[in-house]
Amino acid sequence: MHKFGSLYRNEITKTVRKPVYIVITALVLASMLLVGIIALGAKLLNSAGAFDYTPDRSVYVEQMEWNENDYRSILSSLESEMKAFEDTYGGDAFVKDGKFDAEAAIEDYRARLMDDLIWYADSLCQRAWYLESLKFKIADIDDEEAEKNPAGFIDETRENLAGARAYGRTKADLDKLLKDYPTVGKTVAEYPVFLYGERGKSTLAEAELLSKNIEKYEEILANEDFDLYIDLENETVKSDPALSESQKKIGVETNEILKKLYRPNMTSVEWNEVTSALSTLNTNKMLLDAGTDWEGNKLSPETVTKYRLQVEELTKGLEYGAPGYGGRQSVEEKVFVNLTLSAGMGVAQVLLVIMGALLVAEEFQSGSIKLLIIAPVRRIKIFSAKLLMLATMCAFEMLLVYFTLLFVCLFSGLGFSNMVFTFAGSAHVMNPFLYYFIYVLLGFVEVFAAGVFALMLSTMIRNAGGAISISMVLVYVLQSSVTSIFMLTIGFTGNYIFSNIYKVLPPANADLPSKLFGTSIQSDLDLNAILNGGFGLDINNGFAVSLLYVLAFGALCVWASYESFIKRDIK
Amino acid sequence: MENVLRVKGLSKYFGKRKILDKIDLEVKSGEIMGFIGPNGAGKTTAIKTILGFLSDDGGDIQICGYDVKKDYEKAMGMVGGIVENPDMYKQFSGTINLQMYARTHGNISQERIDEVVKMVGLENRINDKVKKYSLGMKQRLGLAIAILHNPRLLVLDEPTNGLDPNGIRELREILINLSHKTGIGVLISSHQLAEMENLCDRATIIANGRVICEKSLSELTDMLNGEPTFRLDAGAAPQRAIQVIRGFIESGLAEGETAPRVTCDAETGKVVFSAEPQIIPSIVRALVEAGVDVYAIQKEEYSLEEAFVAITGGGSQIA
Repeated sequence: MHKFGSLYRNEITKTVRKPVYIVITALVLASMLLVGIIALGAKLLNSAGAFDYTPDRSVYVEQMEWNENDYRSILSSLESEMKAFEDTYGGDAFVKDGKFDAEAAIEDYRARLMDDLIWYADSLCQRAWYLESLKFKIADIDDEEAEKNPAGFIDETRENLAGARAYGRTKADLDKLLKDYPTVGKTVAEYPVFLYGERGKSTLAEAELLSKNIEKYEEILANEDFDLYIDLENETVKSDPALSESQKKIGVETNEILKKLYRPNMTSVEWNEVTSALSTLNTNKMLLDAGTDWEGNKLSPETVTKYRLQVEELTKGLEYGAPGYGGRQSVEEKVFVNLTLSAGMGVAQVLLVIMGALLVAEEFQSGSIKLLIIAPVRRIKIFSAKLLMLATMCAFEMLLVYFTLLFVCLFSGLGFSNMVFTFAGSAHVMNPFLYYFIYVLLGFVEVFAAGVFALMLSTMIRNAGGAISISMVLVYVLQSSVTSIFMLTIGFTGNYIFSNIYKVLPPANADLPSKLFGTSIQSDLDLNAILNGGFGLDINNGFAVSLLYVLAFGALCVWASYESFIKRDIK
Repeated sequence: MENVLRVKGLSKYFGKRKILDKIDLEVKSGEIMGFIGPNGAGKTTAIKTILGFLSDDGGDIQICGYDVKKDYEKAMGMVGGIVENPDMYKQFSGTINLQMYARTHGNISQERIDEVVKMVGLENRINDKVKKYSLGMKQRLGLAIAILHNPRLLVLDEPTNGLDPNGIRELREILINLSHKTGIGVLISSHQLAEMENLCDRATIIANGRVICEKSLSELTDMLNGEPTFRLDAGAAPQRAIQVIRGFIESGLAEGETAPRVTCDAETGKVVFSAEPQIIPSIVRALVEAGVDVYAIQKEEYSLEEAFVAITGGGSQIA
């Protein structure tokens, strides 16, 4: 064991002093920090309003201003109507026990209509009188008075004639009123302005609420108090008679999530992300609630499962502010985090492939293998020390990636958001530190597998340049090209069997983290992978299958390297 | 003296080609064993097999009593060596190379490292990177690494390659000192046969994968020398001298004995003949009495190289 430790220490000494190791490790760090700096720059530029999509003020304030303008215009029309009402009836008209007395108002209106009827009846009498007078004038044209004052007579006659004509129109109105009289109550109930009947009552309630809320809106705008805004929205939802109880419940839930996710100075993209996620969530909830689609067709069990998972995923995503769900981390930030991770892990994988290829071949090429072989240790220990060193280096690189990512998140403003993913039929939420740790842990498995593949070539061909070239070609070029070619077979065969041929090649693109975490349900294919795959047993996208494959591949490479290193002569 | 290396019946094939054919080899404590043979004889293959670079296809190797197959680590702990070129980690200094090698043995102090560095005369350059070393310096560092852990057996494959005359002399002194004073057994292959002659106590000659002979240096040359050969300078009368010498020798022969050849070296004009050293004065007297002027007479001796050529049948270049 002591000798193994010494060999391992020697391997570390050899590795950490290799220029290629130092350069590429620096490159891992630099590439990640570069992405971090770009993210920070983007963030600062965004805050400074450099991008068109960034509003000058909080989107919420903008939203509030829209709300305020809308409500103010409604309010002003209501206020003017209420003023007219008060002018007519006085401020305390139709108030009984502190409440609006609609029945009294309707009675009042009926009474007023009756007054009108009486007035019209009077008018009718007036007309009759005028007509009679006119008849009388015409009959008594030789009247003494007329003889004495013919001009006055003519004027009086004309006046009578005009009055008769005017009241003639009233007759028609009166006839209509009389005809409609039995339905007067109904007509009044549907007449909103004067606040009678059921609609009148609700409009009055709205007016009263708005009247009361206008002060709160001003307060919300002055203090940017989003919680108060949501409370008001909830009251509005609850008091909306057009909504069912379950819809009101869904509406209130939505508002509560919105309250939790809101933060000052959200960009419009972020705000839209929140609201569109909420919109999808609400829609799915309502469809599930109804059990039918918008056309009224019953939902299939698969669709119900899909909606249920989407609701679960979106709820958790929104609740925990996960990226992609409109949380505290925006889509842009998610992109930057992913870029940082893939930059670091990509470069680390290149390093592992190079180091794996150099590990044994370089010893043969330089002749230093003789120093190793002549040492009083069995070859298995030499091989194990080299393998452990490769694993250590891989682990070190992954930890470097992990901590650099945390550093970048902390100092570039990317932040730490909870992560939500759907796996094995349900949605899960994970602490970001653990999430990224598992991410790099899976990255370790993958990168190490690529490293031992290069090690295998290194022990077999014993030539560093050849081992590096072949590893690179197989890991990076051949796999993608072969995969692309075989993907074409899907078109001919209609299945994915042949496209999986890439799985016999180095697992550079096995992409375990995305197999585990990347399965947000966007399509039925993803859904099938999640549901049918259970814990990832789906042959195409299953996490467990891919993990098993990468592990088996790595084990095969280790075995082949071991056999080659232990048993072959060193000529 | 105990055997620090005992090789018995060692065979090795490369594919179907037999490289080593049941070779036996022994190195005793405190002796320097030369391992010589023409190119392709199997010297380096034998050394690599002994040191574990190559697997064997039969035979036993014991180092200080430990079977290499059964007690590999114990056996290899007793060996130090340089195979072909003294290759090491060129990107590191001599010190780091020594420290790294020391770790694989354990219990080697910095004082011991300093001691061997001084012993091989590298103390002024030991902290330089090996890539800046000349071949001679690499040989010295290789030797330092080989003896660092006080091995009981030192196996050196062509250690004088790249060394200047001073370096060769120093190496010889170090090796003689190590073997004779500290009791290390040394197995050394070299094409510098003159050096081997000055260095080795015994030599094993190998050709075509087989050990042809294994003797001490004096035994080896004596074996060839047998009845010594003499060269006589008879001035302008070599033919007369040949007649006199032949007559003298034939007169002393018993019945049935064949007369040795007495010839004239056409190049030098000297008379060459074999005879027992004790009859030389009588031959000289006979020559003088016959009127032949004797200017000089000299006994010839075989070198290791001549012995090697004679034993291996000549024609092959020395590896």
